[in-house]
Amino acid sequence: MINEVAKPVVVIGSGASGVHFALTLLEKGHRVRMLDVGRSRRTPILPDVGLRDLKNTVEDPAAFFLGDHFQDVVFRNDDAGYNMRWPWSNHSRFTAAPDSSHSLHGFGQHLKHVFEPLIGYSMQSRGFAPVMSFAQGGLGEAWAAGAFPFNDTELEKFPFSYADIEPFYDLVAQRIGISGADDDLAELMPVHRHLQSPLELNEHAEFLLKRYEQRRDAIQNRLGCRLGRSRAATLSRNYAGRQACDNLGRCTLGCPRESIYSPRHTLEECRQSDRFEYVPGWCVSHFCANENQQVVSVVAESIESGEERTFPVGKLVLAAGTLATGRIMLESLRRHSGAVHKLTGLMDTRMLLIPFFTPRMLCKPCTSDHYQYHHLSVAIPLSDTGDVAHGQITTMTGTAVHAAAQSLGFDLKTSLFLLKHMQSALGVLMISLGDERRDENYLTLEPLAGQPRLQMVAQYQSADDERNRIHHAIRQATRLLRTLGCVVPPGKTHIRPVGTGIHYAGTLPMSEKPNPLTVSPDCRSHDFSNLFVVDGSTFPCLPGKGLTLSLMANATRAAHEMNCDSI
Amino acid sequence: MGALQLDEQSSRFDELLVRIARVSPWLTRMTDSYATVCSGRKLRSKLVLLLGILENCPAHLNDMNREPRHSRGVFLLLAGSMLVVYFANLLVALLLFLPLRLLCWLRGGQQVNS
Repeated sequence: MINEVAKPVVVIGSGASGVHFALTLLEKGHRVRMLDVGRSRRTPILPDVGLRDLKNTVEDPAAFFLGDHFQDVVFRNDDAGYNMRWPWSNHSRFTAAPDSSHSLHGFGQHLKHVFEPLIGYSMQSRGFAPVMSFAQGGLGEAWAAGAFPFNDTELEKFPFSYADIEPFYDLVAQRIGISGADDDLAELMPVHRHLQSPLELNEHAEFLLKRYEQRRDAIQNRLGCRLGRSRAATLSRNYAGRQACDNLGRCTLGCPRESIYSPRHTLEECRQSDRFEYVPGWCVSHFCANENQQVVSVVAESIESGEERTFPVGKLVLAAGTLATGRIMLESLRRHSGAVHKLTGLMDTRMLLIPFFTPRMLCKPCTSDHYQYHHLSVAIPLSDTGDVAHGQITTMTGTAVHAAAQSLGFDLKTSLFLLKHMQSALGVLMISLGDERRDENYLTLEPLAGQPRLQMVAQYQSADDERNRIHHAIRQATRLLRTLGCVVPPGKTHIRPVGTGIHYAGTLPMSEKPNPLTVSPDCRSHDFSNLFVVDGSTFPCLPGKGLTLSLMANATRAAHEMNCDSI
Repeated sequence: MGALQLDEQSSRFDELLVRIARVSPWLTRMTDSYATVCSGRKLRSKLVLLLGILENCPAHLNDMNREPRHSRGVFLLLAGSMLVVYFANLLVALLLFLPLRLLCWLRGGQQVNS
């Protein structure tokens, strides 16, 4: 037995899972060391100025919004995904991986630190558009703050029920601050404790909600759909040293008021503890284990000097996100046993973007001084067996004119005229379709010509029934929008490539049986006795909704259940 | 995707479209209409870049003001007429530029930079 007493719990990664796991252990009185690449964000300038007034206030607005070399200008790009122009379009394009040079997310330089690649850390993908982050807080630095608990139907394949995880949803909600309401969506999104009142709606969202209330019976009975207020990890009142959202409209540039939760906030909380050691600037490549299948150390490379260093481990917790955790696991297994493994079951939510406009909202004044992420959520049943797609409605008050004008499809003069009168009426319904673990989707290591190291490869192939699910979801969503009095222009629905959902999961799933490359229900590896995996890798299925809140709750649960007597 | 990358991929015909667009605002609109449905990536990217700069330029903020100027009825009438002008422009542009494009292609000028 190694002496675990002198060695800390080492957590890899400061994303949503890692920080909540660490904080829970610290609250239990244990010592935690966190290794992280940890790129930090720039301090937002003029934190009291709204989006509209920034253009008159900053010295060079074009450079501020478009980048020094105009690199953040959004060019319409039909290759990044697939426009549903024709119903008989080729199914194979569903799986086309986009050119990695295309900007898929459009956050620009303000959140550059979130998506900036790490030199030497590359991966190949087939049918999959991977997104990784090396920032403090991980991808949670640029999330849209959707905080949706899984219900019992969605947890069916998990080794616990909603009742088991509910206390941890409560605890996480108390830590991060979630706004929302107990409304018609409660069946899809159970109502946990510590919900703040919902965020203020803008005029368009208010109109849609009112229209839903007027036509509730028709929508529920004929379509089976539900609509309600979105749940967001965005404060509607001041809380825990953070300010309530005051509608500056700068959400996509990184909230300067810290109203939108980031795992960075919990990391700061962890750093207040003298039992916590944060070690940024290190990228973990693998762990080393002894012949008793116990992890003894992790090996990391300095991102500054490339120097390699070994860190001793009492218990190791992988929380670097499904892709990075998979890479560490694969590399460690290869060094430990000499064999290259496949981590099967890679999943991601498929995203569908359905633009629409609401004629009743035409020619109304449009201001960007509003919360820019989702105001409303919808539940769209896809089958009688409980398969539900989750959608979020965003009204497009803060969208850049040059980006929106292109998408109308006319010459720019006509588009500008239309946009000026239509922007208050424009919206997008963004639907997430869930995924299941399948053997044909996996992470592995493969040799790359001319490279000394093996490279990680992500392979993804859509399910046979995906085409039908997509068409059904689009049909149902279009019916819902029409019932709400909206117009869905034909040929504008956009099916995003797999990978752009950025809800990766499933490669080291929780399992009651001690199968290789799985973890126990309390997230302990079945392969190494002191190894824990607490990120999305452990999810045995992926419901069609954002998973970040569930990542935090599950990591908190795993930390709560971890036996630390030997630490 | 940067504007410079688009430049590198432009064809001789795209260059020609840009030159024609420079002649007058009317021709700019016509070439832009053509670029919405046919080739013309370079012209479109230049116009989009210009629009992006103008919308972030304090001197032009009023031009880009999102306050609608018309009532819904007037807007629908004007929008209808603008769409008619767009489709008419597009038709003329297709009649003019498709043969021109064919000519450029026959002369073997697919890639300027190749």
